[in-house]
Amino acid sequence: MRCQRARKWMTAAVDGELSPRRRRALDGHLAACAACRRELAVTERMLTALEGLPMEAAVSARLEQATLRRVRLAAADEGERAPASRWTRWLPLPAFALATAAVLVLAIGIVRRTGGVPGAPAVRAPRVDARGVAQAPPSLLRPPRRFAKLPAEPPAKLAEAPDLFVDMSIIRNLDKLTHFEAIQTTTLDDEPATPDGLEPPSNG
Amino acid sequence: MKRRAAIALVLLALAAPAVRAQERHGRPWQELTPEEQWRAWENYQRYQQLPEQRQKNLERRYQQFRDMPPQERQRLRQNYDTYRGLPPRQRQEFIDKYHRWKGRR
Amino acid sequence: MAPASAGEMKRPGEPIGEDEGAATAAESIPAGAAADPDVALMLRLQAGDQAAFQDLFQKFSPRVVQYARRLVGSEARAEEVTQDVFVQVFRFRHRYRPESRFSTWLFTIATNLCLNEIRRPERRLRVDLWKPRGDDDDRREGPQLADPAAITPEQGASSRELARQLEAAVGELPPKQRAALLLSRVDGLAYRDVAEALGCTEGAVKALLFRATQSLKKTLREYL
Repeated sequence: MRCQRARKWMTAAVDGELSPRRRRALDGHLAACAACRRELAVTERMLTALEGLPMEAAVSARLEQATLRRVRLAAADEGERAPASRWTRWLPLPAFALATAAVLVLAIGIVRRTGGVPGAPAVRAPRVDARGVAQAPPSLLRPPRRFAKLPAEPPAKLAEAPDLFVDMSIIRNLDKLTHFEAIQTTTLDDEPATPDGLEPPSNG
Repeated sequence: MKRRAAIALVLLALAAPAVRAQERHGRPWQELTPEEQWRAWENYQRYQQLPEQRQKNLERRYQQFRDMPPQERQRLRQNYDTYRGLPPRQRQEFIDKYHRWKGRR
Repeated sequence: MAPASAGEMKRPGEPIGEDEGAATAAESIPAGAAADPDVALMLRLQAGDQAAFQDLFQKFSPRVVQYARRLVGSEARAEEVTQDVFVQVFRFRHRYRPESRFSTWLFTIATNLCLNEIRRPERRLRVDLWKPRGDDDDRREGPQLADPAAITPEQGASSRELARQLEAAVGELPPKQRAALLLSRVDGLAYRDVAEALGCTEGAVKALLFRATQSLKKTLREYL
């Protein structure tokens, strides 16, 4: 092993993040290289000094109060946008159940009469999504779990390509999902993935 | 008969760009289910927090995704569902394998 | 088979564990996770217990403030970012999944907000926290210096000087190197957790840390 590689591995070695195979290789090099032993000692002293820096700062009462105030506002905002929770707050349970049943009967009557729910989005019948799974129509009784409100008009970027955002998790991982089977059959061993074991950094 | 065929052809020709546009850009907002609209909205907010370069990368990958045949898109969705069904340890193992697999390419 | 994109090969992979919000944390609590006090607090918060939020704030805000100070370089802005961090913890509490440590999730949010703050155009003028402002130590901004126990006054003085120089040198690092270095020293975040917080690979974390430690050693060699 050359000194350049040994020095690349020193921080990870001090942090205990080096694989056993690489640790053995590094130890073998250190046994023979006084300069790298000195460099490792410098690395250890520096990392120890870093750990000696205070990791906490005093939090002022002003900061705490300001944060709690904002969170209370956020919670109140959620509460206003969740009509079900407002209902359960001031209706006793049996009355709530009765009212719920009444709404259900009324809603079914409206749907049967008009063939649709007024004010509802364009697609209401159960639809089959791209996965071939039938999707249940949204509940008439309970609003979605989310507390924030959907904008009346989606922003331009969102309206331009909604499926980008519906499928964003898949799109962010396109490479992995495209080669899923090949990746699953890859074996994990101590062989380095790249010549020096390090992937190119993203930035910084 | 010929006239009807001609009209049908014209209509098809007029509809084709719209169909291609939908294939290219996906469904319009109003055709999403409420659950999908919520998901899209939340992901949009996350997208807003990304650096510009990552946003561009996402858009580029989205076009690649849209350009795939429907069966291929379906396969990727199934793979994603499979991944999500894995227990946490196997999920992490998959990520480790991905980096190893990528390094060997 | 779909063609692979050259652009994807160059980019570090993003963790695939992205959740679309369909499953709640309660549906998939790993065995033992609920025994972790921080996970337990988050689960209580998700269930609607706002007192759990105060407990989390009191436990973690000192670390977040310190981290933010060192990253954004301004005490006032660090406090604002800290508020934003905890408001996001509350607003997106249902996105937290117990498979990750809470501190990893928390510092992911903190890192993103700090790096966004650093990138804002109006912040190009960097406020230097680490130069002392006259002799008025009471008004000194910036992280409190360590005061390690010293056997001799000389040793104490040199430790304090090293700490001071270290703070200044850390402040000079590029933001992502600085973030990686601080995260790996905070709460014992493993490289895997640092990678998650930074949205990059473990290999990239190692590279960032290597560069950061090389820079620091170069600057501080006479003190080490």
